[in-house]
Amino acid sequence: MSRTVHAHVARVTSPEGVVLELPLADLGVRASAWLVDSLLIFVGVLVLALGIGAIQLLPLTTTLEGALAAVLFLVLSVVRSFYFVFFELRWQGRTPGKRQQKVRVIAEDGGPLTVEMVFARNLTREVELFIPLAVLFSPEILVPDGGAGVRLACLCWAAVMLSLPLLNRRRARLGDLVAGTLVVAEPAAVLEDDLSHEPLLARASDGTLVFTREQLELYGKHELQVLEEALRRDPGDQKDLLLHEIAERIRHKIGWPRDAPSVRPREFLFAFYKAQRAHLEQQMLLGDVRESKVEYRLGEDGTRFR
Amino acid sequence: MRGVSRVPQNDDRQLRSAAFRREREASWRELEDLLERAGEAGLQRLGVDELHRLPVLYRAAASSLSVARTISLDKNLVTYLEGLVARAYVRIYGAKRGMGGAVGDFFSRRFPQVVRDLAVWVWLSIGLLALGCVTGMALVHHDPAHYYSLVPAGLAADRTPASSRDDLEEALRGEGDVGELATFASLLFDNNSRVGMLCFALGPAAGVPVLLVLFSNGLTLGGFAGLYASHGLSLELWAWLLPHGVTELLAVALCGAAGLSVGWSVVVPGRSGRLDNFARAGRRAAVVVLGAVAMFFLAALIEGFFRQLVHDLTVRYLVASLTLVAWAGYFRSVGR
Repeated sequence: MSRTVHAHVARVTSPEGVVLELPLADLGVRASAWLVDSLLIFVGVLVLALGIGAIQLLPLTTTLEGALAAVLFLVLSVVRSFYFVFFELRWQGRTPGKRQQKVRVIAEDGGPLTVEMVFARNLTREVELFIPLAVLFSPEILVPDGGAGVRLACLCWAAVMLSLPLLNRRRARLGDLVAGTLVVAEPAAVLEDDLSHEPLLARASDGTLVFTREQLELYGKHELQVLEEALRRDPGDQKDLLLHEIAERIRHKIGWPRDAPSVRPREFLFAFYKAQRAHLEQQMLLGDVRESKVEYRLGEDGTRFR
Repeated sequence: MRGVSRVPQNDDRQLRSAAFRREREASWRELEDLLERAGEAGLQRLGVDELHRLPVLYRAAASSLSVARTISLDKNLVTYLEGLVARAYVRIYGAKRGMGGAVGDFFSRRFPQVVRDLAVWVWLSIGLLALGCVTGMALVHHDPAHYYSLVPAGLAADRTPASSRDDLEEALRGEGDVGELATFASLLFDNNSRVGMLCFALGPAAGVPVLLVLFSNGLTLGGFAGLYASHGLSLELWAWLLPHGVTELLAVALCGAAGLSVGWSVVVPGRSGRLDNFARAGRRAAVVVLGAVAMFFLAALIEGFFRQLVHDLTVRYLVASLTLVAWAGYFRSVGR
């Protein structure tokens, strides 16, 4: 099991040897998830506090009342500390906030997310945030005679902690560094139809939409996938304009005869897509695929123009 | 036709990648369906047959992903498979245990073991606390005015060298009613956990602040003890402090040990890189601090409730000794 972090993607090798490329979660998204979780905790704490208040109204003996109050207070402290641990253990690295934002905590080394990792990464949150906050408001907790100096130190500490994710490649906060975890985004992709199966292509097989090898060598992988994206977008009036423009550009580049029978942009593009993809996939098998388009274009007779 | 070579495209045949997809799509859909049904809770919701299918489908999807990356330029397909495999991977390799089991394992095995591993630091912390305490007592014995610099005003309340013996004795006994005590206990717990976490937090600064924190805590305690000793109330004071104090002080020592071990990992990196070493020490320290928090909780409970109910000195000393023996036994033997 191993890991590499490159740009904003974590490359994690699963125990089977599959290299998974998981995008690191955006910091903004993580912050939103944290806000949602904090809100939930706040609501929970509020409910509990109300419960404590309500207990005062019940006709219980002072001992029992005291005991109940104590229990509730302790639950309060526990809830705040253990909300994250509970959910991240139970939901495999997700809390309600993280779930809503579609991010997840994983182990950096590609192995299982262990209990200790979850404990460690959440325990340090006290250190990163809550202790500095508490001391900021009442420095006496830390240093009995402390004042401005302690407050300043806390501000600096909090500032450093908050900016830590920006300063390292893994976008790790202190908790992630200590625990060896990463937070990755998990968008759910929907499998759409294979574009090379497009029914319109039936018409193209009559021979009018055939491309030469030279024509297929102008574009690369990048353009193919841009074309794929354009073809997958929802149909609408706007789309035909875009497709028309793309078709024109391609026709110009590959030197498509102007007097060729006119075809609708969509048909042309689907045919081109299929041919181009077949060509590039062939190249890929030989290990020689072009990444992006060439500088020149073809004339109608096959000559190259800059 | 112009003199342009024409290469016929295989319009009638599928692309190789399309054929591959057609073959395998059903199993991906099945995996997707399984994952959907598992939901957030993980694998508990699935039946036995489904649990057997899952790793098979996962491996099939993983191999499909490898193949797709090699032969297909359909971006949607590759993205889909990456997501599918990632989701299955997370489910299969996610945290295996719910919180209940984790907690049980933690206290019955992990916590005592880590404390044993950090034994050197624990003894050092205890030593520092003891040293501070003795020093504090000696200082106050030598000159009662030292008390004011050792014990912060907030903590001292009405108990100063200026108080009479009776005042001090009074302070040891009766407090408010149980309701107030309960709240007080919870606040104490919260506060002490903070101190514990503080030691953990200060650890990375090469542990030096932790040494100071431990020593000064000892000094405060010593100052207090010295004051009471000067009035001959030592016996009563320790009877008041020790039932919960044993647990609490031990927890403070553990936190100190945690902080010191982290500090040491920064100073002496060992074989792995500094960051890796730090992370490993940090994880161990987290275990200790977590256990210490539980100990603070226990101490708060004892202090909050026990103190009001039992006044007899002998019983208190008995309880104090019991807690000491219990903790010693726990850390020595449990989870070996």
